[in-house]
Amino acid sequence: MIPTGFDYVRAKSLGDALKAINPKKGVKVVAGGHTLLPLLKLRLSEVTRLVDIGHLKELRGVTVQKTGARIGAATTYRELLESRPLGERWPLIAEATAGIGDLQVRNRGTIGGGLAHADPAADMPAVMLALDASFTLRSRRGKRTVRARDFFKDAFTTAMKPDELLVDITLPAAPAGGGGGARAWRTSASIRRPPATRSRERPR
Amino acid sequence: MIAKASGKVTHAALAITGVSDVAYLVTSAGALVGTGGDKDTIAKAAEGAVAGRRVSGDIHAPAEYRSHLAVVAARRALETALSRAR
Repeated sequence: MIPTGFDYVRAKSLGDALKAINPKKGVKVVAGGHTLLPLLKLRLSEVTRLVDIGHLKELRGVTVQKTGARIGAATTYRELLESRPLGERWPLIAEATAGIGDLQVRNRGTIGGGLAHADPAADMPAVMLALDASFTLRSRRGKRTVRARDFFKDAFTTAMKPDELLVDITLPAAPAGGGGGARAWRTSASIRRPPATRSRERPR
Repeated sequence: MIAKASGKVTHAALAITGVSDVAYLVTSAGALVGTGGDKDTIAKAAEGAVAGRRVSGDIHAPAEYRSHLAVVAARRALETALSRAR
């Protein structure tokens, strides 16, 4: 189906995006769009304006330190898989990420977008719970940190306020050697079809 | 997620998704800590996979079958995690 009409703007900065968020007026943010765009196409959601935050540097990238890791919310699944230190210390993340959607979805879809969507059949929320991750939420009003165990409230429902944005994910130090993580079966949440066909794996 | 030291489990966390309205942590996995993680202890920890949860049912799996699968999946995940723990 075709979504209802909306404007599209690119946020100049995180502050710019936080100012723009206004769900009451139908202004939402988009990064990878691999959750929101299918919902718009199915008309399960409607927006008047989408503010693109996917390119914002402060929301991207993986930083691994002795004390843990910080993952920007707009980091794509592909970037997670490409981070060797993350894969070595938290193999469970790589294992779960590799099973998300298909190549196109992983190229565009972001970890923060998936977590904020809180699909009850998605893999990543369970991984975040098992690893005792914390989420940093920002809004015009300030900043707060919510542990994964307090974040997922119900199906498609999180502890986030309507004007809040998930900006990063913090992982506490992994057990020596990465510990032993395992995933039993893949679940059915993944939409194995990208909302747009322009994403393609870049040749290396 | 399981961590081991000197043959004993030092950390155990089990999270379940796709079973209820929301992903959740299974507290019974904590019983593995301090044990060697033998088969019976793992099976017992996995038994608590859906304890106190409202299990969803759909065209893929009715609630009763999904509950059964959750316990089986939990046991397998714990066994694999334990075998990978160093």
